[in-house]
Amino acid sequence: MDRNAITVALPKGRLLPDCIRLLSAVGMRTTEEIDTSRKLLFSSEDGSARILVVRDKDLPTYVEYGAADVGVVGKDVLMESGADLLEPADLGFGFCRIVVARPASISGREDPTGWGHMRVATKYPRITTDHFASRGEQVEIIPLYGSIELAPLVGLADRIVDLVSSGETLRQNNLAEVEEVARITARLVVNRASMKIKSDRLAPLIQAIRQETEREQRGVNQTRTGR
Amino acid sequence: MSHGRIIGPWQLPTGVFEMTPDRAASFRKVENSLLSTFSGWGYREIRTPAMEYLETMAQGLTQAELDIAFKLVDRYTGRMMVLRSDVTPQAARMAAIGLQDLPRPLRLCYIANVYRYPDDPGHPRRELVQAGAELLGLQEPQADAEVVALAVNSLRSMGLSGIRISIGQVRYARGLLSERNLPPQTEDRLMVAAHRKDWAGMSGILDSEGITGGDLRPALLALTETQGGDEAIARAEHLAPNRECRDALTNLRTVLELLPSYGIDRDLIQVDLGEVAGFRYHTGVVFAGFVSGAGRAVLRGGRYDHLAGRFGNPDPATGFAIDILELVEIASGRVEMVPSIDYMLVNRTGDRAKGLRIAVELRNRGRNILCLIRDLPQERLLPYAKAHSIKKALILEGDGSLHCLDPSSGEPSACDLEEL
Repeated sequence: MDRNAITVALPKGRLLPDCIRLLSAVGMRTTEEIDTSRKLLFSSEDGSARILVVRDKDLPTYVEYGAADVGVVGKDVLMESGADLLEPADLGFGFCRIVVARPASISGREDPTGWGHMRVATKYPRITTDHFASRGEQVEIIPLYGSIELAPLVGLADRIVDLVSSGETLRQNNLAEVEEVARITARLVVNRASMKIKSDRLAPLIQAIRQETEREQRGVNQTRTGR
Repeated sequence: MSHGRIIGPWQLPTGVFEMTPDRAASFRKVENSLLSTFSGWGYREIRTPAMEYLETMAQGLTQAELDIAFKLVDRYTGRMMVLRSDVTPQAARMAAIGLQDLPRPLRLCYIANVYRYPDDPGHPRRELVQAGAELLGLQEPQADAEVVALAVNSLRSMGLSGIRISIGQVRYARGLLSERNLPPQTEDRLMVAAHRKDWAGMSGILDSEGITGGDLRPALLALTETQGGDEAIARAEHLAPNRECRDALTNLRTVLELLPSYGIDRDLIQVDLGEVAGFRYHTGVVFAGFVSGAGRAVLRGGRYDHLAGRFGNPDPATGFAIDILELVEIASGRVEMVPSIDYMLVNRTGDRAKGLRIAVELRNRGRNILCLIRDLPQERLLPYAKAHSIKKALILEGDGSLHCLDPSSGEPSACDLEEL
């Protein structure tokens, strides 16, 4: 592979189909089907790029260390990782929200002054700590990796901080959103050194991705106004 | 211990390093070439203490940088001390207090271990080695250009390739911010977004601050754009709302124009006005260095005109520091290591003093020579020599004759003491 080749990291999971569509829209195509294959490393048709498929939580690490020059990752994963990356485009897709939720049986406004020992279950310990700490509120984090909604139901935690898209999971588990922590979309991330060393390749790619994203968003907006 | 983790006496604390002879040798080689590059440009080496009072360090560091310093209490005075986490404040103090009477400009350099708690969990290194140079007493753009050129030459002297310097001017961003009276936290958030090239993040902050129209919004957003050569400055000039911004760009352009005369190809240099990591501390041209094989900036530098004044003697200054620990790993693959011990003397005469006399004679001629105390059988002699970085085994036989053995080929050859 030539020295000027670039490496693109894509996240396994729900963002992958949109990532593949975006790459192919900016002219980066592969001969193999990335989303159905079990391979983890692909080459672009023209050999000018290779594409890695990695676990989303690992993606910031790949890009931060320069094992990949560019990547696509959800803003939630990015915020939680704290990786020192460039973040030159909001890709618009993969929209969801991180929210604070509590048992629906509790009513009234949240009153932190009454919180003696608030336990919050989450898979985002960093985001959660920062969120409450930014208002001077201290909470105990219960780190969980799945089925966060269960925690308040069995007395493990008083609140949860989790990703929601429709809110259906919260409702089915008798939880209610009390606060939005962040709005999440997929982000284009770039390694700091690559941005300087391979700017000939990366600057046009970033430009093309931004234009494609804008074009798509205009499309979405037109559809919306059309209704 | 509460987690059941057993820490054995053989375990190193996280993030510190030790070096075996081979690594130490390649590291020393890099240090020597850096120091000779620095002195080649007239920079003189200084040494600074590994501990400092917190207040001293605080003069030159931001709160975030102080937060990640190792702290201890001085038993004598009860005051807080920090392990050296950055050398620049120490150099500025030395310039302002110890060297206040030396005529300016001053050119100082150092190689020192620094200690920090990692602010990024992904990089648990707590002990680093920094090589740096500081030029104090000059305000001229020529000083900025010299320091950038020295930084590039330092990276070159380490045998590194794919060098790129990203260069900015923090007074441009500061000039933009001066257009509005924003709270410091908001300014910090805007600068973090600029540093991450996070266009979306910055537009969000601008929306929430009501900066929606006018010239300021596009000018701030442009900090996040990928930038390049002179056209980047031209674009910024077009958006510059005030004198401070225009002056900053003129200064940056002057520095850029000076670089080719230092043998710095403009292709190595990228203008990036979003290079604002230390915008509260720096006061002018700032830069970061990148090389192939390292995912992060390996060098940071820039102008800091306010630091020496905090020690009582104001002095404009600029300088840079390179994190050399990881760079040596990248460079050492390209550096050919040659054995460092010239001879291993094997004395088979039974007359110990005779062997030692020969060794003294050779050392006086500047040779490195190791005397084997206990003789080894032939099949172990050469592997020993190879493992210990020895160029030649020197065998002094019982009959007084002398011959050499090459550890890699095993070939014997006659040799004459006079010619060694």
